[in-house]
Amino acid sequence: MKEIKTLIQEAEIYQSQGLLQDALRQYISASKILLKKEQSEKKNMLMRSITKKIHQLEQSLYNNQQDLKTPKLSKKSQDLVKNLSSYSKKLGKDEALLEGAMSLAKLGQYKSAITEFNKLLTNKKLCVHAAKNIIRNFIALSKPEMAVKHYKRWIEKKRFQNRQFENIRLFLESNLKNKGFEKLLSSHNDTIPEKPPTSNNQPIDDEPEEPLDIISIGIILENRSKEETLELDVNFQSGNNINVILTSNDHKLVEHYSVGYKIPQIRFFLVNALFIGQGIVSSFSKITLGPKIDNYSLDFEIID
Amino acid sequence: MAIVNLKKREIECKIVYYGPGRCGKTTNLEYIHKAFKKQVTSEMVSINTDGDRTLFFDFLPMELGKLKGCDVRVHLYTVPGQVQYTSTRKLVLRGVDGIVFVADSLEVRREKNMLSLKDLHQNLKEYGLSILKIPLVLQFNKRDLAKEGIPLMSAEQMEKDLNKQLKVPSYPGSAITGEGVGKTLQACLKLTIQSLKKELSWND
Repeated sequence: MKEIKTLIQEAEIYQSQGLLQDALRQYISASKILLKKEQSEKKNMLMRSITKKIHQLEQSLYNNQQDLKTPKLSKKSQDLVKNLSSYSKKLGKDEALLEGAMSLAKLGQYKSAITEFNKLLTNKKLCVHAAKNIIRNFIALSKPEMAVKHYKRWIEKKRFQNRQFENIRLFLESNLKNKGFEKLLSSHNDTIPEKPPTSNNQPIDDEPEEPLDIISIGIILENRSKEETLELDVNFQSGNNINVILTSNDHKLVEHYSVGYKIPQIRFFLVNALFIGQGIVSSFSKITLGPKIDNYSLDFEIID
Repeated sequence: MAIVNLKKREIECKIVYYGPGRCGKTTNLEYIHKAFKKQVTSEMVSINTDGDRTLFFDFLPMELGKLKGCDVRVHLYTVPGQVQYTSTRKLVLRGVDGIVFVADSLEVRREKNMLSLKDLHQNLKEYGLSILKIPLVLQFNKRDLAKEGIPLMSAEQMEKDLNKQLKVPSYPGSAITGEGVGKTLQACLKLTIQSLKKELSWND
């Protein structure tokens, strides 16, 4: 009985420390030892008590899992997430703002992310990138009409140069099509103006080169008897860094991926082209917040 | 990296409490919040679950006085310890200036301590930082549980497991009673300020 008493005492302390799994293990060990003891009223009472504790712990562990489905972040918390990027000396103010907005978006805080991306529309270098991310966030919110509305507003305000408009329009069209919002494309001329009302065809001398917009990817799965591809939509893109979201079923196909893993063959689908390359995994984790909870977030860098 | 604003004469640096799940990182910050009221400049922000597990991070800002005429502000953060939060831990580590690694003294948590230290090493590496060079202090937490008769690792064992190669200052502690919490933070701040002075060529 002394051994059982010790195990129960340890279990109680582990439980008080929040180490529920460890506590559960001790209670189960105690119950196994108790089972081998001769029948007695004392044994039965103790067994009932231990069984109750095990049940409570299992319930707490289950509840903890459910607690993770708490998607709401307070304004203060969102501000902190945003500012986490501002510590890097390597990033300028706007680049830090961009990283912060991307972090918010990755946590599913799309509305706040849109507010941040809007602030970057005046930055010559980052404006197109910000505009595309605004579109992506509205589509992630299942509000494609808002993406179109914003695009129209940018045209009214002559926010971009013609070439930039063309770039954003193609991006918007491809994303709408890719996410199944073809209806918005059916009345194409009315909905998505192709050209801004005032033409400005002046070349932009210092316009930075825009990265290729990847709409979706196809990871060619390794060690298969015949070619199998995991098709995924791009959630976010920042230059050569791509973020995709995987369901738990998708995850099973690539669960061996870890940080630094080289993905040997990926098809990159652009607005109007396709290229094949490789990627290095920079992050791969389960999403525990926001609307994409319980899915997996995979970040990788295109290396070839 | 610390943010130095010479115009405003302000230095802002970031210290992150790292360690396995339920090792007492948040409890450290809670104690600091209570015990260092003069230095703490605003409320502690915690993003956690009903089960009190850190979901994203805790945040506590402090003011430490002046360094070469500049106001020094320190932001203390914790990371969520549970294994699945890798990307959050990495995000919180961005721009870190000093680290307190809180290790759990419970024998059953031995492996978790080692895995968490390895995770820290990997995440720092991804930011181009070396665990051997960054200001780092270890805290062997929950020493108070020895009197409860629970199996704890000896300080020697923990040194051997975690500090054999690092050779950084280590302190026994009990975040719940406050024992060693101040000492740990002070040691980390000292190393961080030294490193900052070196970086800014402000050596005495």
